[in-house]
Amino acid sequence: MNTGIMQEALLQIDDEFLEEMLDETVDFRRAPRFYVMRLLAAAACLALLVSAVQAYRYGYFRSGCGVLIGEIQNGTYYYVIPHRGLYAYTPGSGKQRILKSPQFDSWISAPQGICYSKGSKLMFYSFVEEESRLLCEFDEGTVLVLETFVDGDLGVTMYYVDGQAAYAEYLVRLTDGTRYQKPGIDIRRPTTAGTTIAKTGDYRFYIETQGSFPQNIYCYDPASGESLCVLEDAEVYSAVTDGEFFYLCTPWDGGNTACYRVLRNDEGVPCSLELFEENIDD
Amino acid sequence: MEDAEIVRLFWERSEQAIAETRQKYGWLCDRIARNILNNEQDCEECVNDTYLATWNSIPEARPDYLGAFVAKIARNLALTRLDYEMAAKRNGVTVPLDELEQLLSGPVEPQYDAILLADLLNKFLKTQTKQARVIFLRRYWLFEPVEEIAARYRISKGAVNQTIFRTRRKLENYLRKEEVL
Repeated sequence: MNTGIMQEALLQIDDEFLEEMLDETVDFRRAPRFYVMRLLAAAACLALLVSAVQAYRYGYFRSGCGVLIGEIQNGTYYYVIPHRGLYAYTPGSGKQRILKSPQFDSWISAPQGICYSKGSKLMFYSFVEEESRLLCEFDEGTVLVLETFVDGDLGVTMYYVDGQAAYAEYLVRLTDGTRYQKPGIDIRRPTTAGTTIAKTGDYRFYIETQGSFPQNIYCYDPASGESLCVLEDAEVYSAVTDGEFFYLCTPWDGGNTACYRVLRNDEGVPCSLELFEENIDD
Repeated sequence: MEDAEIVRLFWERSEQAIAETRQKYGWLCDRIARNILNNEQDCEECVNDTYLATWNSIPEARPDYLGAFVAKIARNLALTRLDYEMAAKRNGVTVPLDELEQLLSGPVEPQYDAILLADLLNKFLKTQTKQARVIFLRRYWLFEPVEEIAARYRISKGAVNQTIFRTRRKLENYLRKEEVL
């Protein structure tokens, strides 16, 4: 009988297999658990990788200051909150995000919108249309400077940065994206050394010594030749003003941008800075 | 007590060896007997015969795995008793012989005997996963019911049945490849 042969054969199975079979401690549920652990580990690695990519996209691995001074257009202050994006702050109305951090490398504001670069693309975000459009593509250029054409149109010059020098590459008209090549122009990057920190009209806001803290901020009136202390004991790194509001940026300790209202005396000369909002980066 | 120690007692012909074997492997002999035989008295006699057969066998053999050695004896005795019971129509079949009959439904080539088949079986089992091997042997060597296997390893009955079915199918293919069938 075939079954008889099989039974006899089974009787001569290696003792090793029988011992394995008789082992009461075997738990087959461990095997799937092991695979689950491997799956979880793989998922964790994937999540870590995605987080790292996102962190890179949002600039967490880039060096540099935490907060940089922004620009004012039509009473709205445009500035970058690190790792979050480009924001528009209007006193009394609060802030609104215009662009997310991964969307741009450098940017510049114009009355019509925000001009920004991403990789090899120069984009323009229109305040009216509230959307971005491609102006042109370029080989390289990370520094953008706003210029005015003779006919009054706004343009952006893109500079290729090499060490301390920046070389103008292109001038792009914002209205239609026309690109003009500007080869061979060598300009120096504007230095932060000096005492003037902001100006509006003929008035210059300055500090006594660059790099020491805290400082008093003075307003120099060229008409009278006199200076008035407008703010005492300030930690100043950079500032910008449109004559009505004054934005003061301190990049250390996590970064902070404060908004002040410019108060004027009877003659219309800036005489004091009144704190309007302590930290518009939060 | 360790297996080697019990074997040493057998070699010394100490009756303590039987007591130690009963204590350590009595449950195993009992389970094998109950899986194959349906009668309480037959089971008891089979288990006692197992101790006696072990006592008689050990001076000639020096088993490395006493548990496997005793289990083999118990299984052999239980199957022999089952053959006798079946011949006398005194007992119903309680072991899954049908499944193995189906496996070897075709004629086995005459040059293959149980020893050669056992050699192939060992080679085949080596290629299987531990889970498949253990479940297969528990079913066909120990004749354990599917429900018990599922409960023991806390897996579903379906999973056990599937493992058995697949392993049996693989074994069939393997035996065909080796020209046994």
